Amino acid sequence: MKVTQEAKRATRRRILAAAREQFIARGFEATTTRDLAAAADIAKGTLFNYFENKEALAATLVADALAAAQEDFGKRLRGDEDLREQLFLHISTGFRRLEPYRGFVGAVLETALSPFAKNGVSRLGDELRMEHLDVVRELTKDDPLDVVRLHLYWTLYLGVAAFWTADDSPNQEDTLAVLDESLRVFVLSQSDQGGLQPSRS
Amino acid sequence: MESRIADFVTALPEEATRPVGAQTELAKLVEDLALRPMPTGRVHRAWSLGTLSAKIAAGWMTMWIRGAFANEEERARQSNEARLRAALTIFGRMGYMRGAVMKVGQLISNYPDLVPKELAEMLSHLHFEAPPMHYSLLAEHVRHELKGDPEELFGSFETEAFAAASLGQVHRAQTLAGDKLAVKVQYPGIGRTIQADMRNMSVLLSPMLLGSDRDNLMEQYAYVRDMLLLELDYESEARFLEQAREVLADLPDVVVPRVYSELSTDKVLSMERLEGLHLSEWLDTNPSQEERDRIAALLFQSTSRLFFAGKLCWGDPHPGNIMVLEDGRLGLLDFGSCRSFDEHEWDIVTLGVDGYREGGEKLREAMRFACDLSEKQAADPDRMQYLEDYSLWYWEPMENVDEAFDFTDPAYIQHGMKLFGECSQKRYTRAHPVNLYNARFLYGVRVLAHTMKARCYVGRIFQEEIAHAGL
Repeated sequence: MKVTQEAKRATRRRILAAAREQFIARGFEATTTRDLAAAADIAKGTLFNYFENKEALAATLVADALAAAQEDFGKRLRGDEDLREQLFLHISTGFRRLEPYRGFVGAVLETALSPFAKNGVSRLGDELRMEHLDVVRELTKDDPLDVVRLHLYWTLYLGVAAFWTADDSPNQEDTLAVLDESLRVFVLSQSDQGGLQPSRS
Repeated sequence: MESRIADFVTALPEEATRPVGAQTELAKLVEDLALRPMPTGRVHRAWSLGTLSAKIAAGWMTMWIRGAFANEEERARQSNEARLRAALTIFGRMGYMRGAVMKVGQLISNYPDLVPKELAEMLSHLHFEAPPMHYSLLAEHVRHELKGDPEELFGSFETEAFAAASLGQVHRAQTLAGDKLAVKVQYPGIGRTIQADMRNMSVLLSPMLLGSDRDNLMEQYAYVRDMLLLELDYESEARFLEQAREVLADLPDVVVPRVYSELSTDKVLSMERLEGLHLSEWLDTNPSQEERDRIAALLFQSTSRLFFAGKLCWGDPHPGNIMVLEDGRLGLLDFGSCRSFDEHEWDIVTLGVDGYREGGEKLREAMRFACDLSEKQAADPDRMQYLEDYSLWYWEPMENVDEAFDFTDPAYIQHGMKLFGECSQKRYTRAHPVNLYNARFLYGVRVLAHTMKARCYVGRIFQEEIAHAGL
């Protein structure tokens, strides 16, 4: 029997829904691909036709959430924010969408989004990074970021995201402070008046 | 702006600007201790607001505390100072300096005769010049606290803060039903940082040799610490606001903002927004003598009613916490550092009133009790003379029921400050910790009356209020 494109899409959606549910309920580490296949009501082998492993599944969930966050971000921008606030809003909007997945975002950071990952190793990771940085480039188009500053930004972003995944403060309030301060430092480094330059006097 | 900063630095006590070196092994140890990781250390640096504000607060705190061991033997004094400088340097790097600097600023600026007028004015501006949280940060924080976006929970919410609070900032907003609100939001995480820092400060200060009154000073430090921690809890402030509203319900010319508890947590406080002018703004409109006297009388009446009938000490009398409303009523804001008397503290108050009525031995007994003096201390004529002078200064405005006390003369305030300063120098600082709050309240309200250049029937108000409270 030929599986139609529509049926394939439906199966993919079912697997993702099952993965979301299982990762949240059992935790990422404790969930096996066997659990996922059972929850999605498919054979384990079929699962691998769609996703290489559970890390890829997690990365897809994260990518979908961040794509939705991109839309949210456009809606939430008021138009009078400065760069620091725009970047804050961009990142925090992403965290909002990722909130249900906080327990396993760390696994995605360690694999697809790891700063040690070489380009091309994870197509999805590359896409996520590029999409995120495209927004940052757009926000900084009046004062474009060079490659060093772009890398600095990405490193800060990953650092804050990693902090967030392990933040046990009430309502993750420390993450808000760390994010705000990281962006303050970043924006200052972007500005000549940042006070981070060596004194010329 | 440049000259202002220069003035600030010049105004600092020398010791506070001197870098903390490793002059002694002890200082090294203290420095090492300071570098130990703290529970919230990850975010400590995040809140560093630069060293200037830290130096200012540290400077004033140095002046304040060193008075406590002015006569200490030289070697012990140096050792203590090394510790103190280290402690204060660390204190200066702490995140909540935003709040602490403003607190110190407010305190100093409230005593115009203690420091040069220019410095007092600059310090009072600190209250309004704290860097604000941008709206996106605040909205995210509020969302976490109230479990909903401000846009959904409120009818409107202004993106710019209209006032800085010592530990947060205040935004204008409206309820969904259209009630006007002032929403105070605390900086995320600042509460836990203060708690951690206070613990570390305590470790650093506890080995200091502060003479015979060391234990009492540490007790006072602990008391201030507890009160500061209480101030972090907006739920506690909300309770005090409600309590104060109840106590002052019979005074139609005094308003305490209503709390919207469904829009409040321990870090977000939504209150009724009062429309009017803060005291300094109101004074800028050159109100008549009659109006100034009326407002001062309302201030004395309402705070005395809170004190005697409500057993509440409104601990933060500051021009920023008082409003004259458009309809002429007096608004009292900020009950964050309010103190509710326990039984023992209330005994101190009632014995004080008895001492005032009877004078003589009863007054001395009240002083001994309030200061928790040992027999030896109570037998020290110099100490007792100071305490008596202080009591007389305290009761002076209440002496005459039929005559208004004239607060326009700065001599009265200056005399009080002189007595207070001399007591500190002589280390007659022993007192039940609640006296710290009572003194802050007492000085604060009188300095406000002086700032208003008011004449006020304080004696009559006092008699009416203790009668109202059944004392």
